[in-house]
Amino acid sequence: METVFHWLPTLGGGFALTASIAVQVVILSTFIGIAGGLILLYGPLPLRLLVRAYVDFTRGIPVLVLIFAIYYVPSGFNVSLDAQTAAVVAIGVFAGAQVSEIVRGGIGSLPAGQLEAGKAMGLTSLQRFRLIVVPLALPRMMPPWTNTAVEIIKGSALASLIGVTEFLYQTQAAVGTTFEPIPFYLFAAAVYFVCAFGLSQASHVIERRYQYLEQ
Amino acid sequence: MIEVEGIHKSFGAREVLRGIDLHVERNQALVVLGPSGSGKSTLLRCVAALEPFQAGSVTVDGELIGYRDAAGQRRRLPEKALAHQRAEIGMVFQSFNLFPHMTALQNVMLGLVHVRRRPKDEARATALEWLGRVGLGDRGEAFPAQLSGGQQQRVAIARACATQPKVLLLDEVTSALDPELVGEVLKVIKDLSTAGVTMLIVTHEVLFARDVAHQVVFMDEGVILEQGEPHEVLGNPRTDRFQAFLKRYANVSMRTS
Repeated sequence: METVFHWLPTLGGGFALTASIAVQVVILSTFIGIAGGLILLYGPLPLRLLVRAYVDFTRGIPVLVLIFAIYYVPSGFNVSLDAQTAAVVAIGVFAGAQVSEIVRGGIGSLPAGQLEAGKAMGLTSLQRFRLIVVPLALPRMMPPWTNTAVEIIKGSALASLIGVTEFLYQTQAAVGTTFEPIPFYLFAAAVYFVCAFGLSQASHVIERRYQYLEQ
Repeated sequence: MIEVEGIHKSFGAREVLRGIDLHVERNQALVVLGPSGSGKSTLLRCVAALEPFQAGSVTVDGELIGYRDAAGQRRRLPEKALAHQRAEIGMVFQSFNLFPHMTALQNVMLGLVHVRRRPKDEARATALEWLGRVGLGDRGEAFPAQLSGGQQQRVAIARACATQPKVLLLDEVTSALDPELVGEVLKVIKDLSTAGVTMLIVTHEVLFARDVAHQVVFMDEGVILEQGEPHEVLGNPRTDRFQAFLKRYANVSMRTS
């Protein structure tokens, strides 16, 4: 454990990068997901089919394949993408497909009656969206969206495989130098667990807070 | 006030409304009776501009609802014009459909603020007044989930009335309620009828129809079989189907007092 302590600055730097990647991916995938979900729900058919194809295709391949593809394929065309950007884009595109489905499901599963009541009172479709759909759908989307965020944090470890010096990469570097895998990997597992578990606990709190909306 | 002429409506091959004519006088209540699946709710949804229909017409206060005439062709109105018309047609649903993320007061205020564009404080005063009229003046801060079914339905009625639509449509508003809660909702409707609100009411409550209706219509399988003043129609059913219906629902109790 003493060696771990000794390596903390390096590991901390790695963790900061992991956190930064995770935050960027969450933002990117949320934007992709909102756009994708809204197109799946309300978009014109050709666009809808395109997004549907993106979602189904992306969900059907391993994230790691996507990371390698986005990192290595452009270099074949003499375009070089730095490893961190490639990782953010790859994981973001992957998680964006999941968030698209979350947005589509969260809005699509709203009880029809309440939307109809808004319609009947003379609200325009934009007003119904702003005043009824968004406030009712957001709390429904929170738990699966948090799950995706947890997946993103864990998935960011894959970025180490294309040389991004994030948390797992630095852990492996420490192991390679000290030849003490057990304390370092235990420590890494504990750190990932605390982040993921903390997030999903926060999600449960939010879920309970909004339970009154589901009658 | 409400003129329905020759409405035909089908879902796919199934014809739900097969030529319905109705006429609701200003300040009067017309009650449509009929068994489940007779097309009553669909009729209301057509009148409320919520549902397109294949033939016929609906006018409210002289305005053609849901369609416009374009060189002899009937065209569905654009969404914005439909919203404008729906504002004049209040609707109360079987399942209340209150907005669960808003308090009772906010539910009633919503249409005043966003449809009628009233200032917030004026909307609040009007909403409170309506909550008072339905006997819930002290429950404005409650969320729908904290109210009983009967209370929720009364909030829904206040919500529909607060914007002062020209007509009020009530779709089986007591069918989802526990029997002991039916009376409090029917009393509110009775009060509205006394106050001269023009209403088109779909219900199973035969005794209530007798009590509030100026006109009663019996509908089955998409057509109107009988219509007239309540005492003559209910007291002297001419068709077998209406007799059977009355026999089945005559013992449905009503407590408005």
